[in-house]
Amino acid sequence: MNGSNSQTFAQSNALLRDKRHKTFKIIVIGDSSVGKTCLTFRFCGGHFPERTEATIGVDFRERKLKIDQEEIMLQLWDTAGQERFRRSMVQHYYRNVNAVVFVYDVTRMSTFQSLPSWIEECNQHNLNYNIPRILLGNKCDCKGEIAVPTNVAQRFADHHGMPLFETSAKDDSDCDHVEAIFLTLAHKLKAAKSMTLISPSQFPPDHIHRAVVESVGRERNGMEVNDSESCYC
Amino acid sequence: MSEWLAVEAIVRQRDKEVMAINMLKLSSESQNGEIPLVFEPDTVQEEEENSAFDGSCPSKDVMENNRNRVSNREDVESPHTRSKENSVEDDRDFSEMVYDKEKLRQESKESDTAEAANNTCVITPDEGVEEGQEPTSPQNAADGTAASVSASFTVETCNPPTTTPVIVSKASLDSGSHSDVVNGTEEDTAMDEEVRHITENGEDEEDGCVKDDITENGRSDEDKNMDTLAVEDSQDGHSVESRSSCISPASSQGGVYSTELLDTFGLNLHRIDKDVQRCDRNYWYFTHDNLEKLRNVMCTYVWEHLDTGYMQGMCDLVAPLLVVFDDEAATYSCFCQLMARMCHNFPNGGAMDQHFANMRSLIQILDSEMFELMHQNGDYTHFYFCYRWFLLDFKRGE
Repeated sequence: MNGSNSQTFAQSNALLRDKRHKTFKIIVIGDSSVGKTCLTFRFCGGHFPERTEATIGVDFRERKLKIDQEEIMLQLWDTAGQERFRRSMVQHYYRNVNAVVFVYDVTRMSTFQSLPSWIEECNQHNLNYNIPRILLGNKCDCKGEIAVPTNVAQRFADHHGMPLFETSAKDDSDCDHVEAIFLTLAHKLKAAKSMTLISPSQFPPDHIHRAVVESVGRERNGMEVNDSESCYC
Repeated sequence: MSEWLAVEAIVRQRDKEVMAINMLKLSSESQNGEIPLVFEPDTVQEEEENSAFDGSCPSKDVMENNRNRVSNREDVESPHTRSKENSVEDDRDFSEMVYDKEKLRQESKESDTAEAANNTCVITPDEGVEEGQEPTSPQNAADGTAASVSASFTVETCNPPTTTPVIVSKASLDSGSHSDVVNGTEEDTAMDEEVRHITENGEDEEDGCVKDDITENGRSDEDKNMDTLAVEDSQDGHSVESRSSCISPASSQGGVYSTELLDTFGLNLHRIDKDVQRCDRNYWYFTHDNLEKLRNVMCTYVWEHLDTGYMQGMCDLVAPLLVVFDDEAATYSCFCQLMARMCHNFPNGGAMDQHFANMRSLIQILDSEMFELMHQNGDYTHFYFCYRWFLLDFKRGE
């Protein structure tokens, strides 16, 4: 969380120098305090952040990866867990998203039980069902407190056509696992990207950027209208 | 504050019931046959019915039984319930300790209160169970239990002796059964505990005498009001006004809270608990005791503004105020004023979109190069990274 913005900007500059990077947007969602921040920080920052605070709004984390001699950028959107908190920005979370990571806490059944509502929200905003989704059970290091049995989670994941991973952002022996999960995702994304290049119905990734810019432009115009309205009031 | 403490007790009770049912489910689902001690749902049902009869006249034996039974049941469960068990044990020790001090006449009264609370809150959990919903996690309920006990302690300790006359005068409302003034808060705590013990068993009791129970419940709520009111009176000075305004909600509703209200407040409580634990945890001030203060302020605000509800970020706004004032009442009133200004930033108000738009325009005009950069390097012109700055008044700016 700390310094994520500066990190972002530094990497943005690097990215400017080398425009061959493809950026993939991955959103991480799930109930509050399941460990979304810790997972993303583990992957992007390289260690487990001690004593994190509740995420407000959304934090951005990025990491550059080299896959098949090609560098790609994973942009992780670490969202706030409290569902009502996110309503105002939630459409933007799902805009042009390349992958979705659902996180639950293996020590708290309630976080697992609210997964259907997260999936539903995702479905509502996501017209493209082809984007990769993964299910991630966090806090595996709390071995004595596991409340969500693996077989139950596996059944749920199978039912929704997602791969299931149980891991821990905290446990150092599991950190490779976190890494592996996101790398798997990155490979998947890259493979999907080559597929989208073939498919005429999909935007090639290069065009996705342009689409983003256009949509932002539209939105900006809308906002300016609001501005002037408020001035006249 | 007394009001939401009372409601919290009920919410906690409901959580506990749901949790107990979850446990049964879990044990019958996943561990069936592996461990011989597993209680089949039917067996427990029977037991609960049996103890329901005893529940109307609680004695130490019954409590002893309850404890054994509950801990047996928990032994069966996977070890994650251990922590919960411990905290419950603590509660029990405490309640027994208080219990020893009380007279027998108190016990009968407590059982009345328990029945009353039982009738008000038993409906939803049952429905929830039939539909197979399991909205609460055991962990949360355990946390809540431990926290609220210490909350009661806080009230007790800040109850100055000068308030005695106030309580006595009000105690007369209470058909004179409340003679033990100094132990008032303790009694309530004990009652809370009793409510929890007994309703757990008395779940299946028929609500034959609803009317009586309702009045009983109203009375118990007024009791609670009195105790905490004493604190408010001594701090504020305008005793009459605060007394009437605080007592009236309980009595006008007859002390019965609707299930929707309980649901709403319970949901908010869980959210608050999650965030209070994590709020400014790197700052030295926020020890366990001071986090408890933070939680009190937060719960009071949410109770008074239930339509707004708790939203993430509120804790962060309370925290600096509490550090400066180191006083719950001052922090609360100041936070109310602050929220009058800040509430538009929260999702219910529309100010945040305006902020984003302003920020976007500013950057575009003042630093167009920067803006172009943001355009080119991913989707950052939504300026969401400013969200926290605006919402928390640049508190967590880093």
